[in-house]
Amino acid sequence: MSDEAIFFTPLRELAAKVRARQVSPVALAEEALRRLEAHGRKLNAVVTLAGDDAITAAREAEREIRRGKYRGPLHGIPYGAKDLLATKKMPTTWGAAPYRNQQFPYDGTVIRKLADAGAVLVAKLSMVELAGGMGYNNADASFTGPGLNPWNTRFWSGGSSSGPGSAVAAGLVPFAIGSETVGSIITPAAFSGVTGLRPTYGLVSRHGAMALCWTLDKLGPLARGADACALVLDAIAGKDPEDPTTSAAPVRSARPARSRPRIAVLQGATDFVQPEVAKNFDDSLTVLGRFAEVTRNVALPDLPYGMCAGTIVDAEGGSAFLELIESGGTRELQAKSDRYGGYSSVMTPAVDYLQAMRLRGKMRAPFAALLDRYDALATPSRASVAYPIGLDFDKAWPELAKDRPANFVSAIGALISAGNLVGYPAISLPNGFGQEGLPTGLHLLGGAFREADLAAIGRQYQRRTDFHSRRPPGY
Amino acid sequence: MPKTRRAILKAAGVISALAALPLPAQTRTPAPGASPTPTPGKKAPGTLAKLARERYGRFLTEEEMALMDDDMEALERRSARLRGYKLGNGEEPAVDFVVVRR
Repeated sequence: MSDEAIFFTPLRELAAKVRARQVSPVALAEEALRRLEAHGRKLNAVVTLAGDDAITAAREAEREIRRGKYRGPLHGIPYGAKDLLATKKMPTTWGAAPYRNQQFPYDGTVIRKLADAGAVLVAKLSMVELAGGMGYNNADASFTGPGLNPWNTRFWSGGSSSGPGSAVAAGLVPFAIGSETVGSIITPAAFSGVTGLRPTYGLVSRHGAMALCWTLDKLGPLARGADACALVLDAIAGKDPEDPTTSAAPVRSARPARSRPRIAVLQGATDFVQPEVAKNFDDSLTVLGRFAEVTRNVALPDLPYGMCAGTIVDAEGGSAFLELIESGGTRELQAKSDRYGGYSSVMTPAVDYLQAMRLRGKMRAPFAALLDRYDALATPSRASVAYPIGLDFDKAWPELAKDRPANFVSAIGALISAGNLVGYPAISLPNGFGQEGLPTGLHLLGGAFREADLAAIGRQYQRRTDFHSRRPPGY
Repeated sequence: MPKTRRAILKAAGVISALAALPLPAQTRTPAPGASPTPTPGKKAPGTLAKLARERYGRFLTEEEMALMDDDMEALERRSARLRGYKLGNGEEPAVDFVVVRR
């Protein structure tokens, strides 16, 4: 196998080669750094390379493995982290010019846990400034430039975890850590054609991660398959005294609760989506039907998910960045709309926030009941392929708005908002390609702390398809 | 197409939101103390927008203030919708306050 192809190898296979000393962690780190420099910079995926620190960590991993001290499947494996995770040896910029020289004296818990697992941090990866908290409407919303899609660099890699999406898609790292408040793992996974796993709220510590929205933020892996995501999640999950919202709930064994998982397809899942998105989704359901019970036309409880998510993000994000917003510091942000977007956030009335949080409380019971009946709820991950660079998002793919009623509620958007509001896990699996050669995704939402079930469904789906192993031309 | 950050957020289901209205080709950083006056010919800002202009107008260009006005209008519409949901006195917010015992 050529060095060029090494990061397209399934993570479990790569780990076995490292363990058997057929592949050197130092060689892997060097190759990752080389590819990140050569390709990552052009894709605007890289903020900071770890350089010598990565090589030092890789040498230590190599020494340990040689001595027989094998830490597990991430030992000696390079990875990248979205640049909102605190690292003591590199700046942590939050993707935003006002914080470009920010330095923390500690590592976030996820960084520390991955170091304990023997993984080698090779780069801090780009992101939408402040994880999109100021309400960006254009891919050019980071001081490192718009995240470019390796499948077609005239298009966005997705956000807000833009760098993790494109770096994994281009095979620059075997996996990356992203974050999601409302859609920021699922979207770049879908747009970049990789697998993204958003964990249950509280399963993974947020310590050391930039806070946008304390009650919605989650950290999770993007990788080249569901199996790889599960391996990474095992390493980063768990109770953390530094984050009181973490749960001691174990990650369940990688086996579906039922011999044939039950998957519910949401009502209106393919309304007002691109034709290729609809076709790929239908094809996915056919594949899922080979090992799962698929029930169509299932309705979500009728609650205002998008409005509640928006209110909560505005209020918490407005508070989290109050000083920046009220000092006029948002003028330094890249996206034009981010320069004034924070002002409506800080004007959100407290009563509105509490109304949204009370409605959020009402969502818990019906969702628990729904996810008792089904192992997963399914929609396409996004209504379209990625948005073009240089065009505001609301101007992209105008044909989708044709004949769409003003009061249309997207099942795709509702599932993303609802899943995040109730804190349940989700996975996005590559399920084909659409316009401009860009990938599309399948979104599955699972029950609380049932990531292993989602990963198991993902593994079964990916055993029967090859979209997750496709390689963008030129990488 | 949705015309406000909240409408876009709702439609897109992703934190990706601001105003759909086109921004001018040229924006400028306002001089300190620049007067936050409304653009002639535009609709007068609402109550919340006036307050926002008073508080933050010094940081914004005229064009940005007009876009902020749209956001404030959307905020008021959302507020009315949120308050339109009838909730019982005992329906508590999804916030878990925990007393720390020392």
